[in-house]
Amino acid sequence: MERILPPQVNGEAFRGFVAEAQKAVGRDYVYLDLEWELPAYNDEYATLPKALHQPSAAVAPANVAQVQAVVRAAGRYGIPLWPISTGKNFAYGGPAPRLAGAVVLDLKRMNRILEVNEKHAYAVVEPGVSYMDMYRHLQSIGSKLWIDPAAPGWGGMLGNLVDHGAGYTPYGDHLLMQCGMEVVLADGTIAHTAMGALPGSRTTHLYKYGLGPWADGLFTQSNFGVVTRIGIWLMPEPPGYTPFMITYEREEDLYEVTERVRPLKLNNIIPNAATTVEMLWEAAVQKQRRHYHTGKGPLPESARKKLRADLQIGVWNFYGAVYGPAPIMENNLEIIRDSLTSIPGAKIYFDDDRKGDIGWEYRRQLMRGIPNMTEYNQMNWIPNGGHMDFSPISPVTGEDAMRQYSLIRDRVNRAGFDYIGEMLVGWRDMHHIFALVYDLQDEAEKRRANQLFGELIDAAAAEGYGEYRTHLDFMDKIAGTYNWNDAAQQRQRERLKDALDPSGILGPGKMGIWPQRLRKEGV
Amino acid sequence: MMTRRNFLTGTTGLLCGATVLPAWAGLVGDPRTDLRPVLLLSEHPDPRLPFSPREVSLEHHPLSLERAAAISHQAEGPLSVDNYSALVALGTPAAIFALRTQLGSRWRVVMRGMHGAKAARLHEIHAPASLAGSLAGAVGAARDEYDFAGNLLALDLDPRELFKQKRISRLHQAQCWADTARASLLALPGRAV
Repeated sequence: MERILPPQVNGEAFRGFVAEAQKAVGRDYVYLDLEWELPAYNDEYATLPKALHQPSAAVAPANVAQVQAVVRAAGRYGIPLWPISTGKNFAYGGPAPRLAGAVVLDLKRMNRILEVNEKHAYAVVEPGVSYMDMYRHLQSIGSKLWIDPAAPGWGGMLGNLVDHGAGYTPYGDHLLMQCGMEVVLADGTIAHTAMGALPGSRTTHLYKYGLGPWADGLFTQSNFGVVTRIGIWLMPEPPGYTPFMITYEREEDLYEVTERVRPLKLNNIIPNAATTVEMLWEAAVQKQRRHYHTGKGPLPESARKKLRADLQIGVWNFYGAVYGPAPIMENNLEIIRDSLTSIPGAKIYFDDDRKGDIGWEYRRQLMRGIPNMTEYNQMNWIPNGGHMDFSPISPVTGEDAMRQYSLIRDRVNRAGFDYIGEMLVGWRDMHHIFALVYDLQDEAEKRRANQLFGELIDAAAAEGYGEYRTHLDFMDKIAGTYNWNDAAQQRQRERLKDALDPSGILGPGKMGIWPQRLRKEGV
Repeated sequence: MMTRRNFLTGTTGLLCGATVLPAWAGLVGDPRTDLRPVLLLSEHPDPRLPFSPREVSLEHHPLSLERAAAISHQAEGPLSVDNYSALVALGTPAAIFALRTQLGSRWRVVMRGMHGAKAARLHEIHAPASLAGSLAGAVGAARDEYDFAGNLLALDLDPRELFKQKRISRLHQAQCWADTARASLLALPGRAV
């Protein structure tokens, strides 16, 4: 295996950077061994050759001063850095850099929980703090605050938030619950955002916007700075919590379910990020595919029927919860029951009805802010399986839900894959997550998966749907679909990139944003 | 108590009864002399090993996806791996993958096994060439994953030599271990060399 150096960087410059990085963080935390160390930073689920996203080195600073030193050294030598927090974003490329030869800036050693403020219900964390770390910490101090974990829960709180991740409690829109940031800029300067810019500020983590343009969003899904600290609002434990599940028997029920969920969400009758889950998502968490069908291609209806019977699930399965004092929960549940269970064939379940059901149990935990790893069992559905998530945003209407579902399912089935998806209903939108699962040992299947993914992007864009997040391989392509008015937004981002990071060292290619010197590498 | 000597030479007749092993020095040694034990992670709370973990320098912890995700390099973490001389793990493909990614770049995964994934009797071993070769017999003779773990724990490895080699994949037809796909892993601390 050959070391791939970044574009426009020679061996001498690379060695110079490595020496400075070793001085900054210690030799033990600069990883150079191509055979034994750097594979930890590969995209394990790659559908294309791993060399396309192979780092030249990885550097793991322990504190913000070390981050500054590494960033400054990178600037001097023109070395592109790819910051990661815990590196668990496997559906979207994991810890691997967009640009081959970039140096991974691994921030997982920065794992301090800097503050838990019980009175004002927030926490301040560094990039290496996972949902599980925070949950354990809150338990250990007897906190009455809940977190909002992603599924699975080993991901970093900061990393998930800056990648616009979502969870399942009423605090499921993670960026909405962010307040206050510390950022290392491309020249090594540390900046505090919003209220944090006021020396001695007493409201850094209480008011999001400060004075003037709100800049925090610029540091999410971007490459304008390295976020080294973040404030996150936590949910006070409510006086009551009642999760529920409703199963639906027919594929076309998705239309009516979505129509009925919209007003329940808009009026906060269902306050959490409720989810409509297709049956194979449920099945993949608990079963291996070959126990139901050994052939290639989409699962036949006979196998799907048996799965539904074995797991006591519907074709669609809606998960939600109510929170608060008992009278409020009872009142809201009555409205929900009236609305969502009057669809023919619908069955509602509560905790006592589904004891021992793995699929129910992990959803029950997620909606209550308990991180778990259960969903990762999907990687047993096909042993040696990998996945990429295709994630278009949809209006909360039956028509859109069915259109997106058909758009994806039809193409996916034609390409020989199963539709494994869920729709997460937020404040005004649905995050439609389709997990494209493929056999990592089947080169033809991986190529087909990659091609299919590109086709889905085009088909969705043609219907007016864009994705909210994506895998490394498709960042340029998806950024290219956001091209209204001669790609005015993209050109604005490029101007910002050139102004904030003139050397072009931070995260080249992240979400299709390339520095001037590498712009030809992109779209 | 089983001594290092009789364990390694197979005089108990347990380990070598199942597999064909040379008289390796072994990863697990005498707890009185070996400072850092080997860590064994497996789903079964009481793995059917040919020896008691208490009698050799071995610690056993149950492995689940949750446990794999909690593996840490921090001493104060839920389960720190930094005080072990080697790590052997058995589990579902998802759990072993999760564990491998948690080990990161500070540990070196010298062997990855996938058992019964493509076909019930097919075992794939990914390891440095010399190790992949020497494990062929062990895979072939093992009746289940715990037999195989016993063989891994009995390995006498020279990390310096292993780390010079490239890893290769070898497929072996052998006994079916379970009706679901299983995975295995052997890792050594990298920066200790």
